[in-house]
Amino acid sequence: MILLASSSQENLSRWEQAVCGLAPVFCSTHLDSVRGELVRIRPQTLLLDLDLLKLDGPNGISGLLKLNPATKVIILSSLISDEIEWDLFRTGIRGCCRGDIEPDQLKTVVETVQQGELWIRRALSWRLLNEL
Amino acid sequence: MKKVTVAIADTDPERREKLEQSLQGEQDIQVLTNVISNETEISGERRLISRTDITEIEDVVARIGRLKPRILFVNLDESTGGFALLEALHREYPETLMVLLTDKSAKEGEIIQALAKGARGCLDHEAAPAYFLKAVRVIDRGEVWVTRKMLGKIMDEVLH
Repeated sequence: MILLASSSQENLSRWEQAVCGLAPVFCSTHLDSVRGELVRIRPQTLLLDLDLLKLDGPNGISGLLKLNPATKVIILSSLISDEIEWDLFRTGIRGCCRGDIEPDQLKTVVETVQQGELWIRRALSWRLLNEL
Repeated sequence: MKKVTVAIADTDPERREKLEQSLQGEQDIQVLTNVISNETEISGERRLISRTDITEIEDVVARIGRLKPRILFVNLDESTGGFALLEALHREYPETLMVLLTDKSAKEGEIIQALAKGARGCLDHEAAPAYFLKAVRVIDRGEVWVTRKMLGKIMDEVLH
């Protein structure tokens, strides 16, 4: 199952179009609903709008991940700094991309992450090696 | 245009020449040769780490010190000193960016260990020449050359 979470119906429609063939899709427009669905349906993947997460403060992502650690979280956002993006990866997300990404490309991102791979920009990946 | 200098530390002369050839002829890349002395070239028999190996590591490190390549492809086998060579090079010449040459027998744990010891990427010997060229350019600009799958494994290791 794939859970899509954004307060924007436009985002949800576009993302749903991208992933509809991959698995059953559920949508949430509020963080409370996201929390509930993470426990109830235990989705394999969560596509999460960073704007929605911001409502829960800086520790929001950690709290969501604790609800179902097996869920692979992909953040969709507008342009963010390398530092913010890297901090998100350090909390345990498995991918990050622009919210206006083309549906075909978003499908590739989800498939990649579902296979256990990491969707991270090359410009950030050196930080990962430095953590080893 | 400033060229990216590239050297290959692989004791298998055939494989080394093949890689050198695939990197030559590019306007932005200069291939440096003679990283491995003839005496170090693979003899076909596996050896235990000995005083001779330590001397060979020192020999390779000294050659790298003279050549100072920007990028160094390193094949990790006993005859090139394995991780000891990586550690020595990373310590002595951190400005030289090392790329691990692997084959199908390479274990994920070994690759992660090599990356932890300073390698900035890894690439299969059998990869298409275009990938070697791309890896050189990507690593030269400060990025890494690692598969997304491997990045996922590394992230798992970092977080847990």
